[in-house]
Order: sequence, then C-alpha cells, then structure tokens
Amino acid sequence: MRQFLTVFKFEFLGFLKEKVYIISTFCLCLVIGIVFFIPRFMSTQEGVEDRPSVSESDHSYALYDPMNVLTKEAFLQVFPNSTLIEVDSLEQLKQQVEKLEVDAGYYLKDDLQYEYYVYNSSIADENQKYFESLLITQYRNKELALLGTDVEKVQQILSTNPNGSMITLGKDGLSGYNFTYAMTICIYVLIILYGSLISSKVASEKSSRAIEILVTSTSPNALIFGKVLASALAGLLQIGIVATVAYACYHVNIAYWGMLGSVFAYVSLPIVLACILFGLFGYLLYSFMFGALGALVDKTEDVNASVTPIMLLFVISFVITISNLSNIDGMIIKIASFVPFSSCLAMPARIVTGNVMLWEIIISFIILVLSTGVIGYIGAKIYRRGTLMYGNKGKLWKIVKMKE
Amino acid sequence: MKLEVNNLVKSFNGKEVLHGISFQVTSGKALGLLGRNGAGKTTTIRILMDVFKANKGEILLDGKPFDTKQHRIGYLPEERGMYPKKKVMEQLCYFAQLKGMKPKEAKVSAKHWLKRLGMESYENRRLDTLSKGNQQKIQLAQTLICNPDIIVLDEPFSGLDPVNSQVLKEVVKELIEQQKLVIFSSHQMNYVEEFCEEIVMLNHGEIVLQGSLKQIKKEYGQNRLLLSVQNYQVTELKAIITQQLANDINMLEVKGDLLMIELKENVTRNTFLQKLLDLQLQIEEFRNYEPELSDIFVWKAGDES
Repeated sequence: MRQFLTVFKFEFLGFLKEKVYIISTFCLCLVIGIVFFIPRFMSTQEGVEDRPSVSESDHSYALYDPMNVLTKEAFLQVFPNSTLIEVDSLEQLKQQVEKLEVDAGYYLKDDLQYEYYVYNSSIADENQKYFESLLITQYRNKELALLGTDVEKVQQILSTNPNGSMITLGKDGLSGYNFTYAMTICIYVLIILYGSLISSKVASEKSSRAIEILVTSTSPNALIFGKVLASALAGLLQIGIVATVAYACYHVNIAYWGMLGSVFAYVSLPIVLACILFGLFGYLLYSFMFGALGALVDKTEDVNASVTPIMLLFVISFVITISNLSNIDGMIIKIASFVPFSSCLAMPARIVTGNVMLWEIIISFIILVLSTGVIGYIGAKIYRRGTLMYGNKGKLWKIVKMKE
Repeated sequence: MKLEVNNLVKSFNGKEVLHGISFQVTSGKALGLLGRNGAGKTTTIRILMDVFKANKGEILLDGKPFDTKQHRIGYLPEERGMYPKKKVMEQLCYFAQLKGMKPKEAKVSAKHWLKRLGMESYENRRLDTLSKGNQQKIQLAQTLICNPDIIVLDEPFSGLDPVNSQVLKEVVKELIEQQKLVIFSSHQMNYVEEFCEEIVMLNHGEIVLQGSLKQIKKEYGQNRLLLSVQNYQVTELKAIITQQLANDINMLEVKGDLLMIELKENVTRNTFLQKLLDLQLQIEEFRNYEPELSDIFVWKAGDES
C-alpha cells in the first residue's frame, strides 16, 4: 500500500508539473470561457438580425417587367437601400449585368414566372428567396382582391400563431440529448488523451530502463495501479477545473444563453454521479489496457502501433453510442450498455435520455466494475512480463502464456 | 549475511544461456563476476535481482529463499535506468521511498550521497542535462541511497573518467569496510583485483573459474618463473632454453623483457637454476610468476575470438 501511494503521488505530481498538462488545462479553460461569453458578445448586435431586408449595404438591381407586375415601391420595401433600374428589354438587362453596372437582374414574365440574371453565382446569394416571397405576396393580394376578400383580414388570420409551451414530466429529450452528447465527448477525450499518455509513460520507463530499478523494488500491481489511478485523478482534476470554469462562465452569462442553456440546466446530481461512476470505471478499464500495451514496446515511437487495437475498440464504442443517441432505446445501444468496453459511454447515454430500469444500471455497473478488476489484474501481469522483454516487440498472446 | 546462488539455468526462446551457475558471497566481501560480452553476467545479475525468473535453480539468503522486495538492495543496472526528464533530487527521493525510506529520511540520504559524490549542485537539474559521467554518479547515488546491505553493481566503472573512477573505488572500498555484501561485474580487471576476494568467471553461460582470487593467482603461478639474463636478449634466451632445456619445461612465453617459464612437475627451481648457470647464463632476474587477473581472464575466456 505504501509503495502504491508513493507511485501514485510521484505520478500524480508528475502530471501536474508537466507543461503539456498545465498548458492544455489553461487552453481548455480559455476556449470554454470564450465559448460561454459568445452569446453576450452576439447580443450587442441585437436588432440587426431581424431586419427583413437582404443586406445592409447598397445594391443595385435591373428589372425588365413587360407585364407591369411589380411596382418599384414594392420592390424597394423588400430590398431597402437598393437602387432599382427599370429597363426596356431583356438585352438591356443582360448588358447591365454583364458590365457589372448592377448586381443582378430580374426578367419578370408574369405574376409568378421570372428569370434571375447574375454575372457570377454565389452560394450566399439570397436575392431569389426574397424576390419570390415578394412575388407570392403580390400574387396572393391580387387574387384575394379579385375574390373580394379583405386582404388585411386574411393576412392577419394567416399570420396568427398558437402560443403554447411544453411541460416535460419525464425526461427532456432535447436537453438530455445535448447533455449526453457533451458528456460522451468528455469521456471520449479523457480516455483517448490519458490512455495514450499512460502507454507512453510505461514505454518511456522501459526505454529509459528505469523499469529495471522499479520492478526490483516495487510490486507490479503497485506500479500499474499507482500510474493508472494517478492519471485518472489528474484527468478528473483537469475535467473538474474546466467544468468549474464552464459553470462559472455559464452563470455569469446565464441571461444570454436562453434556450441553448438548457444543456447545462439539465444537470442533476444523480445523473452527474452516474456519468462520473461509469466514466471513471470505463476510464480505468481502458487505462489498464493502455498501460499493459505500453509495456509491450521498447520505444515510445512504437506505442501508437501497439495501442491501435484498443483505440479501435474504443472508437467503435464511441461511434455506436453517438450514432444511436437518436434511437436511445434501440437494441444495439442496449447491448452496448452491458458490454464493459462500451457501457461507460452507452449506459450514461441511456440513463440521461432513454428508458432504463434501475436493475439494468446496477447489473451494467457490476459487470463494468468486475471487468475493470479482471483487466487490472491481467494488465498488471502483462505489464510485469512485458517490461522484461527487451529488444523485440512483445506479442500479447505470447506474453499472456509466458511463465514468469 | 550469506547469499547463495545454486544451479541457475535460464533459457531465452528455447536457447539455454545459463547452464547451472552456482556461487556464494558473504557480507564484508566483494564478489567479482567476470566474463566476456554475452557470457551471462547480466542475465545472472538480473535473475538475482528478480528482473527475470530462472528456469531452474534457487537463490538463498542465509538459507532462506531470497526476495529482493524484502531487503534493501542497491542495484546499479548495466544499462542504467532513471528518468531523464525528472529532476535529480525528485527521482532520488522517489526511488528511496520505493525501497522503504520515509520522505524526510530519503531527502537527507539523497543530500548525503550527492555531497559525497560531488553532485550537490545538480540536485535541481534534470537528469538529461547532465554529462554521461555525472549521470552515472547520480545512478550510483540512487543505488546507495537506501543504505543497502546488499549491493549489486553491473559494470559500475563504464563511462567514468579516471577521477570519477577513483571516487567510485573509494566508495566501494568503504562499503566493503562497512560489511556490506557486494557483487559486481566488470571488464576492468584492475578494479576487480583491488576489491574482490572472490571471483566467478563465466564463459558461454558456464562457470570456468571460481574461488578466492589469491588462491587462483597462486595456482596459476605455481611452477611458473620469470627470468631474464644479462648476456642475452629475451628472444635469444628463449631460443637457448628451448634447445637446451626442453625436457624441463612445459611452456615458454615472452612477457615484456622477461621470459615466463612453466616448469615440469618433477623439476625444482634449484635444479633448473643450476642448469641455467651451467649454460653460462648471467642471471639478472629469477622469481616466481604471480599472474595478473587479466592474464587469467584471457587464458580462461579468451579461447575464441
């Protein structure tokens, strides 16, 4: 136990002193802080967004309207601050566009038929959208007038919207979805980032031969458990710092977040607890595997190749969870929520947004905890045996079968 | 304390590299483990340190199975092994604590050894910023920091300049005086001769020579003489003796200005000396030959290139 605590303390303080840890924590906090302040900055431009016009800047358009469907006033209501040049022929309109004397030109054949002329088309060009809404309005008004209907009354009726709100008695699907998405990404990043770090640390101990001193004085269990749990704590501390900054920034800007803020408002203690427990044990499960695989190589540059199978396994679990968030009660994610390699992602997702029974959560958690223990034990064996194989890259199966 | 290594056998990938190694060493003595590259020294040391498990054989300390984790052992591995990116003091304290020392105790001991080895100004430096020789001294401090009763040094002098070698020599002598049990391997025979009362010489995974160094030297010097004369050069002398006294000797070898002669068992020194005088040779030097360890090493382990 004393050796475990010594390894744990050394590794944990090692993480905290590492520049990459300090810088990444700072950068994450900075990015999160900026993200949470964005709505505040955007709100200072309020009003500009709701203008019914095409653009604030001046534009010029040509219009060839042989049927006299559209008036200049009606056009300028939809395209304010613009200049409209009425031309007498299609050729004239084309010339204006080709010589770039106008930004675009409209050839209006009748009430609803038109051609839009532009020199270079652009994906951001919304002129047609506004022009068509103008034509529809004109056409409706004209037809309604012909029928002898009160146009204003009809417009009032058509523009009336119901005024209601949703009261969720069970789980809030949208907020839950957002929260699950954010949480899954969090666990994913934690495991990918720290898993690789653990592998690299083990491999570098082997390449620097420090392992030869360590295994002669310390039990392999104390070494690998100390390393894995220290990195788990370092990871949780980093996530905790970032979450605290996020929470503080959210509260400072709560008034500017509106509906979008529901992703954060959804956090309740049991859900957070469930996510932490599943995330933590999943993290430990993968960390033991990463640690053991790090011991199979002699050089840190070989670590990536060694941990690829585990990375793949984890990425598949991640993809299954993310792709099934919209079908959270489907069979695939149900199965994934009981498989220890994917339950750390799938079960919290089901808890947050799906219909899951308490016994399912308990069984999934027990499977995950037991698997973590077994993988930890096997990981320590592989770690001990792998550390002794100098020169050649250790084959996993050979090491498992190897006698000490 | 008495450490016994009994009949160690070790195979790698089906190939046996140690074929039954046995030796013993007691406190207050140093055992020199000698052998050419690939002879099995480091493998023997790694088995001793429980880095590898032997396929057969046992290691006993005072008659009981030896467990490295139950004793304070100072181990200096051949390929060294510390954290290049960590500060010297930080990792010395870490290794000391893993060997059972309390944090304060570890720091005091680390400071003591850094001062003893002239490295106190480097305690807050990263290991990889130090020269190879200084890294070696830090490694030695790591080995001795826990005040070990058993010290295993694998090639401790490699990479050290003469001044640092002298410091290490003094430290090893102190350890032996303090009744520590010291095992060390080296290619540098002069150091082995200085410290070791006992040697074990390995070749191709087998012990080819073992025992008290004094006794071994005596045995290898038995019936051997060093001879020089005033009236002939050593090569001329060799030719004369080969022609005139071939029945009295087993072998001849020129060693510098002297001729080394091995007498046959029934020939005494006095009768041989008389025969030399009868040949009108003016004796300049006539003495018993005491072989150097390097000579014995070459004879026993240098049979193949």
